[in-house]
Amino acid sequence: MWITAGCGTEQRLVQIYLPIAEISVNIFLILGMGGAVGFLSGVFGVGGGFLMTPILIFIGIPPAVAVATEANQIVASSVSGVLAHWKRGNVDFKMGFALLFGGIIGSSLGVELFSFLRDLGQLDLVIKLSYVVFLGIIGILMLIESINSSQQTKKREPVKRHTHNWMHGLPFKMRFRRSRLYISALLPISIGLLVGLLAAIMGVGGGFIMVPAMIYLLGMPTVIVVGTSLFQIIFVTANVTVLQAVSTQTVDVVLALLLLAGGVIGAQVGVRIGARLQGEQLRGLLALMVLGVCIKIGYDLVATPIDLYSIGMAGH
Amino acid sequence: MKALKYVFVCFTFVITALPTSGQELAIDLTKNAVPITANFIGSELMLYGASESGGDILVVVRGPNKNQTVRRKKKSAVIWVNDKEVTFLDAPTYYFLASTRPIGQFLTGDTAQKEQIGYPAMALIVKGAIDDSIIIEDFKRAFIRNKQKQGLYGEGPGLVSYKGKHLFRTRLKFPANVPVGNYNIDIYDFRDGKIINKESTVLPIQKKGIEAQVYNFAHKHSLTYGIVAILVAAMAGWLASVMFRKV
Repeated sequence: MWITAGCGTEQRLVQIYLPIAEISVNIFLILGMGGAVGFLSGVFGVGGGFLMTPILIFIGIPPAVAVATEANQIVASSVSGVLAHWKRGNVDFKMGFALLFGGIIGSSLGVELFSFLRDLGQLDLVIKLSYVVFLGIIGILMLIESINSSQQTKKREPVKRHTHNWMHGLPFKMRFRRSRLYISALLPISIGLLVGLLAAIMGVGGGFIMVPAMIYLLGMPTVIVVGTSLFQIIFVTANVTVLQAVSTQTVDVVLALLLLAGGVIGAQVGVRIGARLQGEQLRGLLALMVLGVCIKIGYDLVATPIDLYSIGMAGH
Repeated sequence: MKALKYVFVCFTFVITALPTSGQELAIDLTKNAVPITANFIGSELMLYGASESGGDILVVVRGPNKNQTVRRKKKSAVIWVNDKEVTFLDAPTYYFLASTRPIGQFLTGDTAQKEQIGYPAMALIVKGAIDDSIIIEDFKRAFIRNKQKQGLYGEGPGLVSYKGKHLFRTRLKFPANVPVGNYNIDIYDFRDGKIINKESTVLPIQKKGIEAQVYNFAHKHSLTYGIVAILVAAMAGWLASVMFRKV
């Protein structure tokens, strides 16, 4: 917690009081965090929400504010990302709308669930548990992949598209020309739904779930996966932002602006540097960071709290 | 220095303004409001006054009342989960008590109870029915302990100091996480364990300027606020991609 020792003028210059989070934070800390996470997303092409939200919680931003505000920031980074892909024609809009349809339903349910859990006093727990589970899975998969490819022990089999299995027996088949697929619309809708739910509860875009699902589950061509997922993320996070603003009033625009100012610059630097760095080792490093965050959150859930009691505002 | 001079001038004013009845108590604050602005990192102000009797002075500051819930964690399998909860109705969000001596030395239990002075006398009323396994006292203690940790509850004997026979002062501190609202400040003058005088004043702590505008916008026009938030973000994202493409 934040107890200020003095009222020195030098301290006043770097501190800013966030109107919604209702705490005073160091401007340069927030800009730096935005820059660092933006840099990582530039290097690795990941959204960064799954790193930013837990870091915001670590520095004392209330989890509800961290999640809702991060959704707002992701709108900015996805818009900036999707434009480049759109120009190269790497967005499958039809697929995007199918994902979005599910995404809107999922994220709307997610925000409802969010308010419900908050009133119940279990919101922090659910956010943290979701992080432990998803960061754990992603971190381990990334680590394995990076170890495998750096040792060159395995030649990766090209992903086989159009394998026929149970998924092709599903109804509501639709043709997605840009993705060269003829599959049931239920598949992208359910992926979108799950990702929307996560977006609302975890304050992430969900690209880290959606991208692998689109490649391995749907069998979409890799080139259009990122653009299409960014397209969906823009509208899902926009939906989360508006719904959170209405139902919980936890979107802090001042915090979001500071984060995205740092993030935009960091991402541009990251893209340029990332092109010159050794991919696999970096990927391994990112995996370790993801696991580090996962372990920290997990440890806090397992370790005996210093005080078993805590104060929260009463549910309305 | 400027503040000190101000205090001095005020002291002089207080002294000369004192009538000669022998029972007077007069107080003032160095600030009559605490604004929460963009660079707010907490605030401190002085309360000073003059008591003709020169008795024990007790200052109680209470923040706005709110329903507040205390939750207790329980180990479930391997993780700690919020389990039992107790909601206190209209409990003070801020509570500060300063006095010339430890209150036990000049205050009787009855008076403390009647005026709700000190933690034991604080009216923490439990909302609704709770099950038998809950020990309310544990939750009350936990509530006060957590509030103290947040810097929102505090008490201190000796924090009110006399300068000379009649002039006294104390420092009031409000941390950066201070809840907004009207703060009631009560000043008691004790003589032989009895309240011979009581003065009260109100100190408003409110968000001001951009802080107030953003907050009110978010709460009063939340739909518009949400839409503006995404438009601002989308614009920023678009701007970023345009700016860096040309570099």
